[in-house]
Amino acid sequence: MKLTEVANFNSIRGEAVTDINIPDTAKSLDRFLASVERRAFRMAVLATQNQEDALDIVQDAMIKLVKGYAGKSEQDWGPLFQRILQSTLNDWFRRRKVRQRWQAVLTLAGFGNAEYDEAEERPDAIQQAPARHSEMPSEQLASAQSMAGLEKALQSLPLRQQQAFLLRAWEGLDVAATAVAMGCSQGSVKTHYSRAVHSLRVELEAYR
Amino acid sequence: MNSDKLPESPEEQRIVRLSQQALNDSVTTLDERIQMRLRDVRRQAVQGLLKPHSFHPNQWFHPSRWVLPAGLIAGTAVVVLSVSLWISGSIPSPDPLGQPTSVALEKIDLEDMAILVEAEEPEFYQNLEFFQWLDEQDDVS
Repeated sequence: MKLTEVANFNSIRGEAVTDINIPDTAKSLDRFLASVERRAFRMAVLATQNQEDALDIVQDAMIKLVKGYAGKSEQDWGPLFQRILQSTLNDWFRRRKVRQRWQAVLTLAGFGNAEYDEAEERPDAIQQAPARHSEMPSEQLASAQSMAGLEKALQSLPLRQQQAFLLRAWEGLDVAATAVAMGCSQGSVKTHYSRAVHSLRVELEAYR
Repeated sequence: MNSDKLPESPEEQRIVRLSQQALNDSVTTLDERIQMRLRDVRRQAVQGLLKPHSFHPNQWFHPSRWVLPAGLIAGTAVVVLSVSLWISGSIPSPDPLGQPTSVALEKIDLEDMAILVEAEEPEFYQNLEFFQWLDEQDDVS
């Protein structure tokens, strides 16, 4: 197919056909994805605590956006990408639960690894990070420890609380947009968010 | 953007501020190796835009919905038949009169069987999974 050829993408939901110019759309998508990829990766690492899984999740989300929504308006890509990313994270957690159940069953039946440790499967991302604060003044060290504690506290949040907090406090989404991204009600967003803040407050007390 | 106010208590504002600072810092100091991999991932995703789509996944009764199952069945049948012929090719089959007759059959390479079974590009299967997921999202909403 020639790059200059205009492609007709039939709607996936029975909407009107959208004609797009592929090279221009590809460039715009590349720019958009470049603007969100790092934050998306950090979100995925906080959720999965594994860099390889996080890369897979970000890749999945990007592919789904490109293949499903390239014909949409550029201003729709942000909310769509967040929705896809959060849904992909939810799917990852569901699959992990199923995998863990099977492993538990196999272990009981004598086929699995009796010494399987979930913590070993997901290395602590904080431990993976390079030591950047080995020689610092005490004040900076205290601040660095506080930051490390905060990151650890964010990692330890349940997924839904983590999602609500990151989308609201970091991505700056309002309650309605967060609800769309998470696929839940606005009331649930507020509940998850307030619980997240409470948990973080408790965790950070140790670093005052 | 953020039309709803975040909690205004000083402690919660502090938590939000520290979180933003920690997260922004982690993004700006992202490992170079990870940055390169993210670039590769992004480019692969955008490359997918350049490949044509030729089906209508949202239409349950569209013939393309049934190409995969039919293709799998046909491909599986080919594999089973091929393996059977391959195995039986090494065993001489006696004729009714008791005289052994060797059947001249070619052994089918395993790679050829994979080619026979593979009816579509991998992206075809990936697309179906994604659009089925989209349908599920529609049902939920």
